[in-house]
Amino acid sequence: MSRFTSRVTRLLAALALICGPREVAAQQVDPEDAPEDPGRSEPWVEWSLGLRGVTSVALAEHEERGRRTAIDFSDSLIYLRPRVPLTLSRELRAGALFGLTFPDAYEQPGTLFVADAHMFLENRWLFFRLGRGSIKGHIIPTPAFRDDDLIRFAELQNPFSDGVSTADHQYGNVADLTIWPTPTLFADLHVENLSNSVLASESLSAFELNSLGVTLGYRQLPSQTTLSVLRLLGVGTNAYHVDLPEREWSFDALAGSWLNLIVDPVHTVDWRAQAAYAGGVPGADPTTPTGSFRARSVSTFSSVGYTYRRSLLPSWRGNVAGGYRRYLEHDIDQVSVLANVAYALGQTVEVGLQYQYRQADGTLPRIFGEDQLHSAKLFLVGTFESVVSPLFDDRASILNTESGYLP
Amino acid sequence: MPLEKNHQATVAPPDGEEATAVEARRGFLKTIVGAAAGGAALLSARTVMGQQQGGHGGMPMPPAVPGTKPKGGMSMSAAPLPKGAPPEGSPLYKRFALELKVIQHEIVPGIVTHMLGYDGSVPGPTFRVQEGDWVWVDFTNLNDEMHTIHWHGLILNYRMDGVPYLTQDPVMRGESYRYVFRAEPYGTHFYHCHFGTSMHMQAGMYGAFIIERLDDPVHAKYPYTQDYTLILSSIDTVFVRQQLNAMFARMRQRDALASRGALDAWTQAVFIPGLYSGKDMLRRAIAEGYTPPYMAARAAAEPPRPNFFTINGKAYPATEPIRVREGEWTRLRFINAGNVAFSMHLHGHDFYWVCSDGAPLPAPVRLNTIRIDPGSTQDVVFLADNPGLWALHDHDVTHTTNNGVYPGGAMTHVEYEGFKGSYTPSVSLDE
Repeated sequence: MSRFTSRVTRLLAALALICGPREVAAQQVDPEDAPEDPGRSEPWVEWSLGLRGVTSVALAEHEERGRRTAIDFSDSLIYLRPRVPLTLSRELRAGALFGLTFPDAYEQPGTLFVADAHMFLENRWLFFRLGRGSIKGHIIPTPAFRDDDLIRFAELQNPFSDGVSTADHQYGNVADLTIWPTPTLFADLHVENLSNSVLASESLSAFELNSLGVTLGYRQLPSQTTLSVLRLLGVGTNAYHVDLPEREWSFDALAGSWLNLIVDPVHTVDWRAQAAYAGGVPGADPTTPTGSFRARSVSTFSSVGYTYRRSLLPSWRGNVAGGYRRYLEHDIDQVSVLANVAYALGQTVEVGLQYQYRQADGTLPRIFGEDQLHSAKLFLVGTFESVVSPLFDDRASILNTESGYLP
Repeated sequence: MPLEKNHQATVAPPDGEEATAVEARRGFLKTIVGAAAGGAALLSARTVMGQQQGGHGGMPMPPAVPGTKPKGGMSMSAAPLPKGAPPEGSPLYKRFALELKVIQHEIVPGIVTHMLGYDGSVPGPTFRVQEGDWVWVDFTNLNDEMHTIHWHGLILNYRMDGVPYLTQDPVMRGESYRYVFRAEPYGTHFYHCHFGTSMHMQAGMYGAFIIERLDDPVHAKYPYTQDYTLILSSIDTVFVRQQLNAMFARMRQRDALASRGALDAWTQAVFIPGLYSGKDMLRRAIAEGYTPPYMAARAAAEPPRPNFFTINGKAYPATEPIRVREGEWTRLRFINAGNVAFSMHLHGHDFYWVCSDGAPLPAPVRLNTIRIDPGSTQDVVFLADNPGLWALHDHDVTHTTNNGVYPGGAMTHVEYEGFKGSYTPSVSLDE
């Protein structure tokens, strides 16, 4: 018995030697930094996981260069968004958004791009985000299947872009504060670090807060968009620190509206219009990529759409849209018309067909698309989102906006 | 601690009497209180927490004139008066007005959620009437959802039973519906919404309906001096929030269509029960492309998983105690308005199970734990003969939690008047 006890004692001693360093390491946690309750430091996290698939097969016909076909998956994205209540500030909630997308690339299709990587704070009255994210390049979204189909007419142009990717005009490093004095009125203040090539890595020395702007607007509550005439209305202006000898700052301004011409939850007819003026830089040459983003110009787009919701669920929708841009100092213009129709296979899955015609002045660089091009695309688009342990209501929900906000 | 008692003995204002909105509101409360006080054998009849909630006391209420058509473009609908009912203007009616609105309700400190409150409170006001009374209730809906009132356990004309599309059309926003019935049978009953029942009951649309009689058989055997109503319920706060938002949004679209006469079978999408060949209609609609809301392609919500369990709308430690006097009998009326069963256990005492679903039992049963299934009511009495502080809680201890954290939920305690204990807690709740 004593021999057995002795062996057990030696065995325990050996185990103590093995385990000892770990115990010491555990004890080295600075008690000042240790959480009060290590077993339950943050009991609740809401996770949203989303995936959007945008796929198409395209047939393009050029008068001189002939016919081309392509299968495209750009604009597809995946994102993850955790949100937490804040222990020390019950009025606020905090979260982060991390999203990867395949941008519409002129020359590098298939490049996986970090579109969103930001933290945010929000409550009923404000939303603040800091990090990589979308920039305020438009007020009215276009009804096209892809966000670059009408980007030359509907999106402000990043004057720093080298023209490699349309993502330059859509994403940047942003500090963005949106204030909601009422559930529908908003004012947005933002500063950005716009990149000359958001797809490429840059040295930190190139970073500069080179853009700032403000947007004021009215946005109907999501649950009411088919029940009122006015859906969205806004004006905005931006300043860019181009830091050129002839001009240190350039400015632009835009305004847009989205109205329901027929207010009906089943048969809705809507009209969108947006116009923008880019002050540009004197002497900028629109026949070069960067020059085209700095040349003084006006751009506009407009669309009329019809949506049919039998059973008050998505069913059919169709749109006709047109865009126009003119470079004021060079008598150069470009135009596009687009028509599409989509059928909802489910609440978040659509199959659609889109025809587009683009015409651009032959002196413009090819980044603007072909000078004479007809294209037809068959789309399959779906959005899939799952929320694990949902904690929060939306700021603009009926309960929150009409019966008091509950953070 | 002195017990609060309801000594006001009054009656509802006579029919046709001009009353201000405030007076009308008071009239409703007086009717309830008066009916309670009218039970001569009952020295203290009340719900445990009803008097502590804002809806009963200081909360400003919109005009509601009992027995009259609501103002502001509202419309009143009603089924024919039941057979044997007094004429409309008869003073024989006990008249009530009940309104429904969206409220912010605090379940427990720190947990405030949007709910649906009869007269702005959860639970709704307690009705107390005498067996045989004719009751007249004008129910007005002040929110966008559709509602009814089902009088659970009462024997009444089927047109007053409050089941949408089976006995009446649901009451739309701004509409009122008149319920008229004779109060029977004796006992502990309740009322609740029967439209979107799963969500609406979780959201707080329930209240007690107590029918008394002068020769109360329970009081004859156990001369109780305290009478408490404990309405048990459970709520999935996330489910209720998501469903309320979705239903409000959808109802507004339907309202817009209805206002221009464009509401049709596709947009109304109501399942008429089999009595009206609804099954065939549903099958035809599905064959033509209609997707019912219960199918996976449309079902946006998971089944509710309650995260709070309440007694009279509150979870521990916000629940009110049961205050008793040594040597006296107390009656507890348990009503399960939730969707889970409760097994209520009293420490330090046995009690006698005396009524089930309102009906007196042939022979009382001695217990210390009683199961209350969803939709049932169980009455017990106990003699306060063991001074102290005694827990009263659901013994399915998963229901004594708040958001999964113990202690909480369906738990309260019995405290004796004037009791001075020797124990004082030395730790906090946040363990």
